[in-house]
Amino acid sequence: MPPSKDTDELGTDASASLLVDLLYGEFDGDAEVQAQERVRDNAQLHGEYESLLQLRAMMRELPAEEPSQAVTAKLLHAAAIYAPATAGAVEADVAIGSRLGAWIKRYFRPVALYPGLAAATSLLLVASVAGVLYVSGRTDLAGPEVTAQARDSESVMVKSTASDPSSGLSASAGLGKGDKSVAEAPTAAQIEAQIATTGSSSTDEESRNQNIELRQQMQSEKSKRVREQGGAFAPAPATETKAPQKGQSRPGAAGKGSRDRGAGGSPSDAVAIELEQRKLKPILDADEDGADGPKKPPDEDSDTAGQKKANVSSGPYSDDGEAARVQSLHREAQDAARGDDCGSVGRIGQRIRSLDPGYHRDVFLRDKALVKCFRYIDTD
Amino acid sequence: MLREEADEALMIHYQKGDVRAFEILLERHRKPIYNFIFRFVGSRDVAEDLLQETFLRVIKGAANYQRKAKFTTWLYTIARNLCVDQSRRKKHRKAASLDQPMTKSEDSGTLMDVIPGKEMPSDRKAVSRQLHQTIHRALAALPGEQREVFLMREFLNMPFKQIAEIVGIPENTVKSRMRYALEKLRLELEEYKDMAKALP
Repeated sequence: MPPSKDTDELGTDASASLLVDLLYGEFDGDAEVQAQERVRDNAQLHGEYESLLQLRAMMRELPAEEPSQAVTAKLLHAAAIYAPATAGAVEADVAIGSRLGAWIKRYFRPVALYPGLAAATSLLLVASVAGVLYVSGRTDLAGPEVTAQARDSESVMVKSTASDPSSGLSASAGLGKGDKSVAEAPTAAQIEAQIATTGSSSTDEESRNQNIELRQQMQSEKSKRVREQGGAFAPAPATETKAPQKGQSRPGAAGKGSRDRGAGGSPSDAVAIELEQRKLKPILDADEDGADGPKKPPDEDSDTAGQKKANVSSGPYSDDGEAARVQSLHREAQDAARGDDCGSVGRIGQRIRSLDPGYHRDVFLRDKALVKCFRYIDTD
Repeated sequence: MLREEADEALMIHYQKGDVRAFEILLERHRKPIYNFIFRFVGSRDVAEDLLQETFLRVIKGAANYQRKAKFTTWLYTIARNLCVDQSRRKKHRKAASLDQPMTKSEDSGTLMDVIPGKEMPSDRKAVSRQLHQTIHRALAALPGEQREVFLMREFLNMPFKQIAEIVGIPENTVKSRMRYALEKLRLELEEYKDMAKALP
């Protein structure tokens, strides 16, 4: 700014600073008023001031330019991506995306490059899915059957455990609690289930029934012999007809299986069947001994047989000396059988038969201890 | 409301991930910054590039922004530095001859043809356009250190004290540069006073 006479009084820098401050409102309150008075009083300063005001007016004529919206959009996009709090998350997402993309490229690129491979892969997938569905379908079909079986066995187990075993057996044996109500008495199915679960019916009960039968048969045989000796019109004992009935009504027969199913029918049939059983029983018993579960020791069997003999012999025989001899011979036969001396067993059997054919037929031939020697014994 | 908040508060919001805060900042300052840059460099394309670069630097530097710093001081420091760098690069370029054709075609005009003359145009629109071109040429003729001070004070209405902070010089030096810039412009545009008065 060229110095002038007036401005020289204030100084060049001072006058220039005064004009700039006054032009842009840098003074406060009183300082601005004083500066305006100075400029007004100084003609040169006033002229310069007016000139600068015109210059500013010219500058205001310049229109404000507008940046393109593309730049604004780019900046907003960048702001969203690089926002300080989310930048880390965006970078992590980008990293995950790139890793996933690389994985997809690595495994699916060969499939995309070779259409044949893609078709084969598709077929394989379809076959796999079909296989899985088929297998799952079979499993579903098998499921209900298994469930039903499990339900049946479960019900049997529940019944067998819920019902009192003793009451069940007594009911099946018809002893003591025969007049029980139907609701309390176990049904045939329950008994079968119980037999199935326990393996077999009570051995003691069977043997008892067998003894009863045997006793009845022996009595009937004796009375038959008496009739033959004494007269053809002697009355038959009542037990002869009752025995088959008892055998028929014997509850345990159901559990014994088909072997005892022929126990029913007419008395003559019962006797014939009984005689047939006498022939087959040793073999069947031998089979049972070999086929069934844990066997009793041989001594126990023979003791049981001896007990049976004692029970039986104490009843029908009137001649105690003859009976004692027969039993003694029987014991000798058992000892011989234990010593595998079947020849002696056969000879003793002939002697017992000659002494007491009934005992020979009903007791001796049923002794399990002598089974292995039965082929040496005349069973006719 | 975010719109009523100060620039510094908006910047803090953006630091926490609120992009809307940055959008408001951009809306507030993009036009003044763009005009400052455009009047500094004299080219719209360069001005847009520098505007974009300025705000990108704001975005990238947002994490390190501290509230005690005035946002506009930071923003214009970035813009001013970019303009100064651009001016330095421009100086090293080979200056185009005013007589050479603007394109390879012989029939195309020269740069001299598009530079406005001192003849008074007839129509009003042409007067206005010529006045604008003259002002731009006068601004471009200012030294960079005077131009930046003048632009900040005249067009951004920035106090001398803040200009001193941005440029990094004493306030008196700023005023001195301002005074020289005004004097040069006044002499340059003396002939167009009447033209400016003719405009409404």
